[in-house]
Amino acid sequence: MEKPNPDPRSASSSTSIADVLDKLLIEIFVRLPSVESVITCKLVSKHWLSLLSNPKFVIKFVNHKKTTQTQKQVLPWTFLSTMRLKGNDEIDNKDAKSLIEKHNKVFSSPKFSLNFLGLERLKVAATFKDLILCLDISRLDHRYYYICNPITKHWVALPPTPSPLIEYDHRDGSWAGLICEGPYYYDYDDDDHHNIDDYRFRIVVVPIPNKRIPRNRRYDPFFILNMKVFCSENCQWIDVDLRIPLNPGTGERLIPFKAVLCKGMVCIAYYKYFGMFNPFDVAPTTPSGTTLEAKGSIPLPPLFSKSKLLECGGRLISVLPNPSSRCPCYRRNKEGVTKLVNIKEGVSVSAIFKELDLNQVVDNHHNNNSDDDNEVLVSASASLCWRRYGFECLDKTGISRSILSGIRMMGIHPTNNQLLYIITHENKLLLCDRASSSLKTLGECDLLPDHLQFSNHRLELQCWPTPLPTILRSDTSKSNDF
Amino acid sequence: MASSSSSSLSRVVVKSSDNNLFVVNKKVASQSQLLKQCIDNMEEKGTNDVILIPLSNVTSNILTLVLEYCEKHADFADDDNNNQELKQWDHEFLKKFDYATLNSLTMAADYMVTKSLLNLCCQFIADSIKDLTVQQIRQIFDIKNDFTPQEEADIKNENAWAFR
Repeated sequence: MEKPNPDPRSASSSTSIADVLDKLLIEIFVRLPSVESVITCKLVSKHWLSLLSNPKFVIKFVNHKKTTQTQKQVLPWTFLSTMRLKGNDEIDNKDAKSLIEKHNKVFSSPKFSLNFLGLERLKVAATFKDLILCLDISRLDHRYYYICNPITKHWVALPPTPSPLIEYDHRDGSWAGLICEGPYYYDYDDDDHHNIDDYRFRIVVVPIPNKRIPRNRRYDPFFILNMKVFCSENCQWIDVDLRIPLNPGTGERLIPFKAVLCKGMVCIAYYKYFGMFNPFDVAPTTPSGTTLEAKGSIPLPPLFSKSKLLECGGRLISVLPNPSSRCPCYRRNKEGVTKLVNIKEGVSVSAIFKELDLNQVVDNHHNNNSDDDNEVLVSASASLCWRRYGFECLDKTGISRSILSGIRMMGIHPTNNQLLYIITHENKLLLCDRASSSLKTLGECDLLPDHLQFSNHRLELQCWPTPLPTILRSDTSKSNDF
Repeated sequence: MASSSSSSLSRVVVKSSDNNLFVVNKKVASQSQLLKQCIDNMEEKGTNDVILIPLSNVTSNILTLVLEYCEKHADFADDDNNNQELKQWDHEFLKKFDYATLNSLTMAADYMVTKSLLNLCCQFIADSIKDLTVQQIRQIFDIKNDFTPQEEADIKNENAWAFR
């Protein structure tokens, strides 16, 4: 009988039994369903702790989840409503909690507060995945922003904006966006490559313009918007002017300020102007006072001024809320009205969406990497248009007709544009499922004070809590992150 | 050459670490990449002898289990992977074992490069320890706690968010 060498690895006897065991342990650890059980395993022994503390393990864990989770399994996510200042300015997401997807529960549902920041008064300015950008609103001289992860309670403080700044308004004086490039969950072979938390980010702060444009004047071809952009590389705030082009589509003169993040682009609409820009076009070397061109001249849909601008999986979605008595000229049910209707059999919600899919355009834009980025996007955007579709969701569960009082807030699922969430004036939370044309009551929210303005942010929990960017740690003394 | 010799190699003999011999159908053996590699190598050399493959790391009780798994999966080799019956069988198969056996089986699956069995075992162990306490996990894996109380408190503190 011939005896082949059964183990090609035995030639290099460097792999000891302990190494094999470690490899298998890691294989087991990456299959743990949640971060919590990983943390429990960290407490088992020093050896396990060292295995689980290796950043490469985190990369493996995240990638394993990505490849094994099917599209339908969306991680828990939640809406946060801002301007909920009560008691110790605790942000209580009780109302949001009911929105957390029940299935595939990776985190225990957190009834969290942002007290760990130790701020007297704060406002949630923006979110990115599971990171929150908070603004300290007890200090009026400068703007002090903080980036925190409410799950791990880690946070970093950003240097204050240079004074004098945007005039301060306690209500909604500014719009802010947090845009991160990372974290990087790429599996690098060489050890000295990126850390997962070594990623760039930008913060864009736009003062909401309150300058009124006279009714009968001729419109300039551009609207200049001054904004501050924070570059993580050099930890500096940079003053930038954004030139937003006149929109060819809308006949509406008075579109109130709307801004939303979509595919990493900041999309801004104001008056008759609409444009998008990539915040990473602002580089650390960009001199203050530079003028950037907002891109794209996609005609806006009719009645855009009354619509709620939402984002879902790289698509801009414009939904019209319930008609209000304040605009009698409103064309009911003709153009994208989301309304609660009292019909004979019960209650229904009908809506017409206008959807603009940026996925292809922005991907092309990034792939092309051409010097004339603007040209690429403008030419590509010529083929873009708002897709219109309607739906009607009928309640079959006997929802009380009192919900017909109207719609207070609307939100959409992070990736599934079939799911629209509505909070009524009676603080009922409704889910409209376009796929099954059904209407469901998800629960009741806390009573929200009427005098506060709402803007809701979406907090999307990740299978591993997003680490804070490292870049700031050396520059700021006020950080508790380790 | 390869075609003529392949017919002669419908079976291989596998030897466990405690010197027991197992005669294995080639289709079954192919479930293990290690065995398959050996067979392929020998076929390339054009040998007509019966191949004996010694596995120095696998005891006969574990090898029996691995081969039982391979036999079942060889039967379903042409089906798609999502066969419900097979999944059910997999689960029932693993449910019988204690942790010591599971660990040995995992190591054997790794050594014999039987990827689907390795995945299955790792997922099964992960699923069964996910809700256990630290103490229970230590017991199962027979690990001694080498943390000082202070160190343990530090880790708990650092990850306080996970212990809600």
